[in-house]
Amino acid sequence: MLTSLQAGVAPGPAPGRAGIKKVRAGDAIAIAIVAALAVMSLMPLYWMVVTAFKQPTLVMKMPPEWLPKPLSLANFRDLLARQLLGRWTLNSAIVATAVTGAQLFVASLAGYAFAKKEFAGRNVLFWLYVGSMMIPGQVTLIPRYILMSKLRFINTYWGLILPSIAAPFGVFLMKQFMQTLPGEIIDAGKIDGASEFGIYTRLVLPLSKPALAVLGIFTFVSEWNDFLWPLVITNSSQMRTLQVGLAMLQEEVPMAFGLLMAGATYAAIPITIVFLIFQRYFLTGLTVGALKG
Amino acid sequence: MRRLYKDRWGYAFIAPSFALFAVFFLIPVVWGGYLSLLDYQVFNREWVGLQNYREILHDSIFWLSLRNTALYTLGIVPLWLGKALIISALIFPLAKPIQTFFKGAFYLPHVTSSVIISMVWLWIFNPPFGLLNYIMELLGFAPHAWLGDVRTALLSIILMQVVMGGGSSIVLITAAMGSIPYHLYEAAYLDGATKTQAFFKVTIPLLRPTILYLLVTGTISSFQVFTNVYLMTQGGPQFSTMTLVYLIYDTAFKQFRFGLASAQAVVLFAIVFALAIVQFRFLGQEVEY
Amino acid sequence: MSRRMLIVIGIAFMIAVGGHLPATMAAAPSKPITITWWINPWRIAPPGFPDDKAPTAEDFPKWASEEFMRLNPGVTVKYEVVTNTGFDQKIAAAILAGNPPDVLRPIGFKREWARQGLLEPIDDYLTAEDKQDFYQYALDVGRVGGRYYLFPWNNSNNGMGSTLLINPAIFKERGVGIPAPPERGWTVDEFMQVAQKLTFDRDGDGKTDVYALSFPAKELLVMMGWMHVFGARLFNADQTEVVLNSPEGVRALQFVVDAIYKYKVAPEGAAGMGIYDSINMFHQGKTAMGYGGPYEIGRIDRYVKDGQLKEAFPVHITQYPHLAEIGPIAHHTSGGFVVFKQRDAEKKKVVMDFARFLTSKDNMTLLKSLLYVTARKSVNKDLYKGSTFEKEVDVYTRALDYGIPYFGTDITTDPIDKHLQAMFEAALGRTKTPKQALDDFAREANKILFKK
Repeated sequence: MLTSLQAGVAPGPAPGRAGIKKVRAGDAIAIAIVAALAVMSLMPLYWMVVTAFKQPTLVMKMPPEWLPKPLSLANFRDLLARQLLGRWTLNSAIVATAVTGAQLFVASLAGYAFAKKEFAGRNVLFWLYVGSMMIPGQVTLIPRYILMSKLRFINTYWGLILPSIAAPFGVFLMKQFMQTLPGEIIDAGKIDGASEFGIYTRLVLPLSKPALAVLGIFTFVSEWNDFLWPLVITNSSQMRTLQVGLAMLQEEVPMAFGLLMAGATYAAIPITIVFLIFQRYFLTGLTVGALKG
Repeated sequence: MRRLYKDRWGYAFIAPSFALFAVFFLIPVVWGGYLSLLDYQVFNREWVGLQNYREILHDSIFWLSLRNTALYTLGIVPLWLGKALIISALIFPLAKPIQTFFKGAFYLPHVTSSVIISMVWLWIFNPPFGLLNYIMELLGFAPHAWLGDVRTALLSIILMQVVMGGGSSIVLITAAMGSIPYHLYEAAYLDGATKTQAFFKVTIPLLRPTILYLLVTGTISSFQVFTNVYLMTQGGPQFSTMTLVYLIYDTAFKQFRFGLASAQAVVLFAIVFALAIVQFRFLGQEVEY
Repeated sequence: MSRRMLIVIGIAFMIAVGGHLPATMAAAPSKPITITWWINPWRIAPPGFPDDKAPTAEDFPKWASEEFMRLNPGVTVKYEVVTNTGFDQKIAAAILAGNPPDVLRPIGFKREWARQGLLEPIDDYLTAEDKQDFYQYALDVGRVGGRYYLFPWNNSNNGMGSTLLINPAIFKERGVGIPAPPERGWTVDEFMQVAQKLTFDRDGDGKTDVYALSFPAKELLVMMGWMHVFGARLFNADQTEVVLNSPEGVRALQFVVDAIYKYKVAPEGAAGMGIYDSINMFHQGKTAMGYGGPYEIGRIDRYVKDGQLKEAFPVHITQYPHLAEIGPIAHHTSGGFVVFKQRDAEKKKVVMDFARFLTSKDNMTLLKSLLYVTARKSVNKDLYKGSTFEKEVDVYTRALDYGIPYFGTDITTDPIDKHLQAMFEAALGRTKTPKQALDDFAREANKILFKK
């Protein structure tokens, strides 16, 4: 079921056959085909940005213009004038950051225990985690919602954050990685008289940086983009996350395409920045290799 | 007791994670099964045994959603995989920077949220003012209500997903291609194989674990499609884009029939589980744990 | 002891105590009282609001809360503007958790709440004058088991399913006359002749540029309007069966299908259209007619202010067309405020006062800023006198006089709404004939609502 993480953490894919070489005819055709496909999948995002920068009254002009002439910031002014936009952004940032931080801590602790500690019931517990990764989130959606309503967590940050920390994938990922850490280092720590928690913070965590980075980035992105849970657990405009807020905007002014595309562009910016900064984690196969399982 | 004491650090390290996991995963799973046997509504909580399941069996919309979800999965998974395989095969021999550039280009839509993608495509699909119908008219076709026609609504969502998707599969496949030892290709070329033959004889068989893995995860994730439906069609027209998860959402949070929705969720789980078992059986022969 | 039991005892207690309270009590309450009030977004301009600013959804509830607190020292009103999206879910969650607001303006009165004993009946808080002043149909919206539960406020809605809008510029361009005031009524035949003239190819490229109107299959009120034109009804007289698949219903639906495919006066693709598609086409000049009442005229000005629409254009209101043998018909209903069960008699009195305050004659006139008409006859009489909209509002209120509720009065149709929509989609998308679509719908709806 799981290809081990080593394969994934190995340095990215071997480059083609060699470094620099002249572009051959075959390559040119390949590039042309791939470029056409890439244009297709980026075109909608391009259209989103172009629409966002058009003058609101020219958005529905037929035939459409491929460049915003004149360039207008009116849609963004409209968007930013909406009182709750800042709050939604803040909510998304709080939730994604809190979940990521907590998930890293909790999952690395548990992953370490599963990888390096002996205790009764370890295997059973671990398989419980792995098995539950197979369960679609919607199965627990309703009981979790009712549970949240009993705990009075509906429409609170607790309700948005806590269940996501519990996602079992992080534990699984950390365990797979920490298994590859040499046991001698930990033993050495013990001889030096470090406490158990000290070994974890001073030896295990620094060695696990690659896996922590992967888990952190992916948790952040998936929390930022999450929709169904924030949709059901929040019910006041103030508590919506950015994604849910956008969906509400879509329902409120479904035909104000300029404004809507400005909103979509705005919401896409943070994740695009994350993507550009951490590109190598996304693109070397390291993360995907880690996600196997 | 001694044993527990000796193991105390293991338990201590696991405790925070397990506490959350138990409260938000284990208990809800069991509770969900229990709820599915109740008539649980805003005003009413009563034990009804298997009545919810019986209602599901006789609910034509449930069967429609199951059919739509299956069609959606059958449409998307092979197309995604095919697209990713073709692109991977084409970019893999290219120089590293070009390869990385394309991987980035295909990955960007993948990290863009479903909400954004849905909003953008609603605009593109808009019948009188959207980009797609404009291009159709340029090409001499009649404009079409893509999401409004029972024959094209689901298809439109599938095509949208195919155009936007595949980014992570490409990364995974090219990574797997990179780990194929080059001497295998040399041996094939020595035997007189062409590049295309080498692709089908060497690359594809060695990619099998990756492909099967993508099949499993792709199937599971397509079975859970929700956001696109919620934003773009609300299951219509004529329930032609009603999917299982949207139905569960509708039953629980529009009609507030939590018991019935739980039963629908249990059925969804059973189907996904069965599919995964079948696929893992397949996969298990190929990959060591 | 179950909660329901507690509620019953609570009610009994309150009736006992409430009965002894003097009818009018202006004194400050003996203890601080806090009222919670939820309302969906209404961009009403409160008194003294600057003309050049567009009111937000917060302005009216903020003003009303503060004004009531000023008039009633010791009382705190906490309002919350609840978005239309997820409105029902928020209320359900609140009811589930046992803490609904004290006063709520529901989107669509929910009879189930009254039946479950969640609401306070308001009969004792309606004066004889009120009962005379409120339109009977407005009061009836909130009538369950012979008692009233809703303080009527807005009369009908934005006019969907009640009247049509026309763009006189396009009528003029095509040399078509507008139906005669004061009613602006027309027969179905007259309407169809006009519609054909209004559909045309302006630039001569062989494609239709302007249609007479559009049919948004997803907008049930608008579509039910067309069904009622031909005499079709959702339920039989005693509301025990869904009978929309009557010959009248088939005829109505055939009319719509023919309008699209035979006479081609409305664009195809109607199956995928919602009301906003329809509004948008009307605003963009792609259709000569749209749907709605005065509120929809106000929408045009709002969009111009928002920069979504380049310039305002004049709009007239007309009736839906009618058959001579049936006469004009329209949809009417009412929205207003409900009061959730109160445990404290003193607070209950204040809460009722607040609901009465919101629906008082003076405060109801504020609906004018949205071009709504009110649920009080006395207020409507002079509300728009001298206004630029006087004529249009007059056509609208005259149409409402022919109004009936489209969705029955005793039954909650929520569970069949999506089937009704699918029926319109099937017929307008021509995947089923009108008869098939209606029969399939009636069978399914009867199964769901009446278990037959």
